[in-house]
Amino acid sequence: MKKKRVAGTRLVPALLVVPFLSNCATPELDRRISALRSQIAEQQATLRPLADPYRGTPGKDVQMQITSRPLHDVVETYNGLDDHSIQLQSIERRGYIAEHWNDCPWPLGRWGYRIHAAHDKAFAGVIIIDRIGSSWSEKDGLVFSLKHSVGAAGIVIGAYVEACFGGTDLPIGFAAVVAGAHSAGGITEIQPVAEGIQYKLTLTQPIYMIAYVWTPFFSTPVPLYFTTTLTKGKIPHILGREGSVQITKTGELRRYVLDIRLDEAHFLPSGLSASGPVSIRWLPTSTGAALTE
Amino acid sequence: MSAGRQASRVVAIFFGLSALPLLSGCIEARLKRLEIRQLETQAASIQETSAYLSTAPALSRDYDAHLHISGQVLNRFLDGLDDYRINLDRPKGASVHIDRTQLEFQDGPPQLVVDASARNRSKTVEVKLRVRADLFLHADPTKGIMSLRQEIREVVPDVKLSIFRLRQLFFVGQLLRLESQDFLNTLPAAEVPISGGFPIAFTTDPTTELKLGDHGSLVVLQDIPTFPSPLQYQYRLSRVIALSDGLHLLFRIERTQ
Repeated sequence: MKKKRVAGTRLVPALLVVPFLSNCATPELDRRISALRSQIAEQQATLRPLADPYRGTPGKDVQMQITSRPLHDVVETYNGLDDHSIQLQSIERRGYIAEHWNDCPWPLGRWGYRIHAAHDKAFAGVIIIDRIGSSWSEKDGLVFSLKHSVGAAGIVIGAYVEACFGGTDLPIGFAAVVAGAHSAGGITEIQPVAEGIQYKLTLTQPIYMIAYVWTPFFSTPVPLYFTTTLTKGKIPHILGREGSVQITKTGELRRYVLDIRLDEAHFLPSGLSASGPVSIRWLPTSTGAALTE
Repeated sequence: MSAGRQASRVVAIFFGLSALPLLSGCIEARLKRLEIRQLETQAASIQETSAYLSTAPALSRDYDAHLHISGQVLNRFLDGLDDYRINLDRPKGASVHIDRTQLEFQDGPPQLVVDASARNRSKTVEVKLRVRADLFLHADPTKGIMSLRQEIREVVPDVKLSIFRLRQLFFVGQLLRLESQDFLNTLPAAEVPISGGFPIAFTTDPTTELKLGDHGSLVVLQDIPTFPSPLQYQYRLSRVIALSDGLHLLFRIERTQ
């Protein structure tokens, strides 16, 4: 009985294998494989030139292209605001408006004057921008123009006067400032940062102002040029920072942190692009709940 | 050796000899059918990609954002799946060991290369495996993730059989009977973080410098009107294209506020 059982345990597994050995190799399979490989080679040859314009920049782990639409939306939203006025108030004066010096007889010093803003808060005004127009350029990004900007301001004028023996500061006058421009405008500056693309809409063609300076000894129109960063912000790259890898359905979960260093950004015919390397830092393994869809 | 034992050994060898050519041929046939299914999937995917790219899709017209992730970065994600074990319900006590998973990129769907082996309960037999798996990508912008999930479709032993290794024959036979459903609950997955949305605010600098003639300037506080709240945008994945340099994800961006 024992010998029959031993024989049975050896025969039965071998017999069980046989029923499943059906439908085995045929030459048709080889022909089908060969035909499919030829078909795929032809398809890849067709696909290659179609795909070339969309390939990433060699050497860059990640590259993002994004439409310019958000920047256009910023301009249009600003145009929809009720208030288009820009209030200005000086907090620091630098340099001077004009100066004139002559030497006194030796050993005396010099005599003359320097015209400047009377103090740090000497200037105040307001500029009103009717509307911002914009278009897109592959060279400068969002190119914008300020339509019909007008403004008014005032500046208290002071002078530093020397008369061979010493000098003194004097508040000596006032300048009315008028502003207006039909061609003020600017461009977009972009810079890649870790989080994405930083953009600035910068006024490069300034709003032109004229200060009519009048003093007892100096009167002249003095130009002022108002330039500013109209707005700035960041468009994030789509790739986030923290991700995970699940090893088994439950249990071990490995988390990682992406270190993305975008190092190149440029404009496209209808958007912006940024690219750079990515490194992966694995965090200590922990058990956790399974990933869910 | 007793007569009974000799007889049973002869019978076992006889059936083994009979089964061996069939078993070897059957394994080869299954490997070829596995390869045909992979090639058909690949051909269909390349055709679909070619049809889409032949329309010359353009930024801002057909998609709003294009994210390219290189193949090297994706394989660095998959390095986290190296050396893990799947316990099988049958054969009882057996296990599949995935030693390495990598994507081989080409123009068309990437080939998922899985180095795996199967071991029986007592760990006395180890059989190399050819694994057919599909790679599924699923983006969930609300959660801010894209998941790369492998679904194992078929496992075929890749082995040269010997009639003198009956345990191997027996184990391979059991493996051949496995269905893809046996692997459905053993899904490794990787999550790639993708931001779901972003705000755009009208942010200004508090000061600017006003040029005063040729020799002076004024630093001024400027009160430029700003938005009451930022503009809000949301990404939505619309298409994934696999090329020789990695994955290309195309998104639509919708303004939500």
